[in-house]
Amino acid sequence: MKKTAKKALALFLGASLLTSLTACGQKEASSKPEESSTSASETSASASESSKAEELVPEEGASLKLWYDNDDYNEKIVEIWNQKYPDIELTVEKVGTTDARAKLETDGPAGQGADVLIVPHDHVSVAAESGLFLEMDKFTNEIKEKFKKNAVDAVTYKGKIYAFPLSVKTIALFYNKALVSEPVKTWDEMREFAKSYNDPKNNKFALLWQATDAYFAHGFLAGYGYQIFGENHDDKTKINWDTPEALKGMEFYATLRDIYPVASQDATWDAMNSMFSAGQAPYVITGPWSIKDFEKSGVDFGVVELPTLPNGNHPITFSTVDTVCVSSFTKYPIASMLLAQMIAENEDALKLLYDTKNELPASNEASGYDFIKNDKYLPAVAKQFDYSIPMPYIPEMSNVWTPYAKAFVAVWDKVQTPEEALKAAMDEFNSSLNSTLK
Amino acid sequence: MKKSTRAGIMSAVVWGSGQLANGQWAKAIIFFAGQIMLLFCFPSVCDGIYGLVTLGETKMVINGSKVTMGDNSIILMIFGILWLFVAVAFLLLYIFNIRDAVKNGRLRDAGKKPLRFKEWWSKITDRSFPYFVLLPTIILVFVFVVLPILFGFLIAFTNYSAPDHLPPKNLIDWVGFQNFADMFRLPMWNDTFGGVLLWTVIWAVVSTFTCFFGGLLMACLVNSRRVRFKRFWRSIYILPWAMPGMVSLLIFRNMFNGQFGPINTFLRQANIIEQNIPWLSDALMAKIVIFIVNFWLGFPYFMAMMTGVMTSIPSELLEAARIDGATAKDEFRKITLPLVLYSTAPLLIMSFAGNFNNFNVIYFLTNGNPINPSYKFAGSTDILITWIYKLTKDNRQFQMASVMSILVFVVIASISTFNFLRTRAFKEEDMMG
Repeated sequence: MKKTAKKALALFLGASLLTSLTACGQKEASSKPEESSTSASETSASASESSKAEELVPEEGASLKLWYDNDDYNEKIVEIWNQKYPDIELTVEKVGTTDARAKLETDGPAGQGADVLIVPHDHVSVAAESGLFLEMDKFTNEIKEKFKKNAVDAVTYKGKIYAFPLSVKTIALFYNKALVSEPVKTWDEMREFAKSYNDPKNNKFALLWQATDAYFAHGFLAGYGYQIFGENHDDKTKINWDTPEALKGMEFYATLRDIYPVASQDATWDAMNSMFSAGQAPYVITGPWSIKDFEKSGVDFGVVELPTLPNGNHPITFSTVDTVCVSSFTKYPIASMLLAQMIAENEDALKLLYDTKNELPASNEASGYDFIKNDKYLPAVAKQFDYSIPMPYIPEMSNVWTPYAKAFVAVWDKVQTPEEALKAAMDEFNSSLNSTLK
Repeated sequence: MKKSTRAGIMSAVVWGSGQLANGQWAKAIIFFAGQIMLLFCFPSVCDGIYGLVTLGETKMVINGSKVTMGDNSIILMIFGILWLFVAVAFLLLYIFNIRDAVKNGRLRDAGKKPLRFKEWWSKITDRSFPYFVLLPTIILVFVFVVLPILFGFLIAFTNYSAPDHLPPKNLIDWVGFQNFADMFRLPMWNDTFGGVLLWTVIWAVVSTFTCFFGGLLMACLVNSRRVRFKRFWRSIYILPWAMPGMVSLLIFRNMFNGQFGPINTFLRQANIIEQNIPWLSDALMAKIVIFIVNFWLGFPYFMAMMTGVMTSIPSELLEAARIDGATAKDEFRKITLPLVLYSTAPLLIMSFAGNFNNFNVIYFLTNGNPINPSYKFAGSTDILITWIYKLTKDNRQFQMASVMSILVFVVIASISTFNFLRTRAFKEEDMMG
């Protein structure tokens, strides 16, 4: 009995091995370079026609896949798409915006990747550099006309537009209406307020934020005229930390510790988030991503743009633009671009984005939509967005964050003077650049 | 010509023909099927290995939204490795085929009859049964374990890095040992590397020993005859182990927050301290906090293990010692400790290797901070593995990250092997013997 069972198992395993080996006789399609891809130009013969985007007709029998990070959105966007293109099947998968590019790197060549995906704008350049995204060559003029200028800059890489801007985000000043009747207008007023309000022993601080996160701190340097990567923010040789403007901004930034006198390691997101949600912080600096949490906590709060600096300028913050991109692995480039266009421009789609994710659309028209105009918080974010620059997207930006943050920490904790800190950051940045360029 | 030689040569040309000459038709069919399969696979194997050697030749062509895909070096590399496995499998089958023909030919030379298929089959299924059962696992191990390791290893010998060598737009190339040379030549890596390596070693040694001997101490206390409610204490102390480490670490990070954390807030409001204790802001303090937290996370494992060993110590042994007049101290030093060490020492080495690469504790507790102005892309508490992570994630220097993981591997592997070989548990079958 036992023996026959053994025999049967051995036979079965032997057979399965044989079949698995025969399977290798079939040629692996993915190991061969693909010839099929994307001949978008067949339908539109010349570049001059490219401005008439409306005439584009999606490919016969196309089916598309979209990656975005919200299930509710994904479910309903299919309905909106199918109203216009009932014949084109759209499938959706939940993929985080910051993970999408890396996932496409592996899934794309295997034929599993999305046709259309939504990524933050600083991923666009690296993806364009490595050939992952298609250029939106048929929509160049349309995108330039229909979206906020800052947002268009964010999706332009080396003069070419690689995505539709979808939504914009930047940081702003949030205040608790129970503790503050009229929000301050300048940093001097904030300093005055902090003098009377701060009580470190009982964790009472006028203003809380991630003080040494470069994303939050950059605006103060830029408000003093500091230009990261030159005037167009795309010249990797001009990190400009040795300019007098950067130094001035850094010196001012060091004085902000009077307002929030805690060590850099302790000025965390958790501290900001929990103190404001508990109604114990009059002001915090954060972005629209905090709105839902704060609403849930029941705090009555308002949002305004950041106070002006002593030189009269607004802090020029970094902004992030979520963008809709088309994979270069797609078989249906035109249908994909039409989907991207719809996601970024269609009012129903933008309303859906607002309802599910509370995001501020990048399209010019959207600021006229009722649901944006009447929102309690987003108009202030939009205002600060006008004072912002898109976070530089050149690949060298990834070498900036660590030294930049280190400089803020060193200054904040008084480990180094602003001058020393900026010089050290500059050295670190340059050495990483050299090793990259070799 | 001897029958064995002839059978061998026949099998070397047409697989299974030697077996046929030996009169083993069933085996002959199996081997011949193997050769047919090889003919089918041969173009793929060649393509795969060619791709692995060249890493692609055609570049991607981009013309606006019109894209012609070229070769993707990474994909070529992965499939190249896979086909290499297949090729090796065929080679082994081929060698086995010849050896089998020769072996049975010798039997015939000696005037004996080779096994009939039925006999051979029952011999195989009887004796080689474990191999058959293991075969699917071995294949899976090759695809899901060996392949990724090999892939990560090979990256060190390429120029896979931002910004100019990222597929699919660009091809990557083999550069030999260039990256290893760069690693030691660039002062930027060198300064930081020395400091980070030193701290990594200190961290691995101290954290392993605190957890090990801390666990021993707790196990002794819990098992002491004078302690009541043993089960209760044991359950309490095992709790830190039962919680997901990442969650505990994030909670600890907030607890040790210098301004808002409950520890400092309490101390401040109880008027014990004026100034905040810089738990995570001071390099030395942060390291101490890391050790404390790691101890909390790590000791229950050893405690549970050692409690197990201690309960298995025969009570007659201890009783006899007591009758002979041994004190509690003697009992511990001469009986408990050697027996516990004997069975847990190998774990000490495993734990050392684990701590050397303990990404979670550092990353979630301090994220390598506080800053160290003299380091590049690393903070005061970064260990090698978190530094490698930062380099790869922020800077996309995959080739450098791979070089460093090879170095980490060499360090850990050599220390572990050395220790394993010297551990008594691996030398002696039976300690009492």
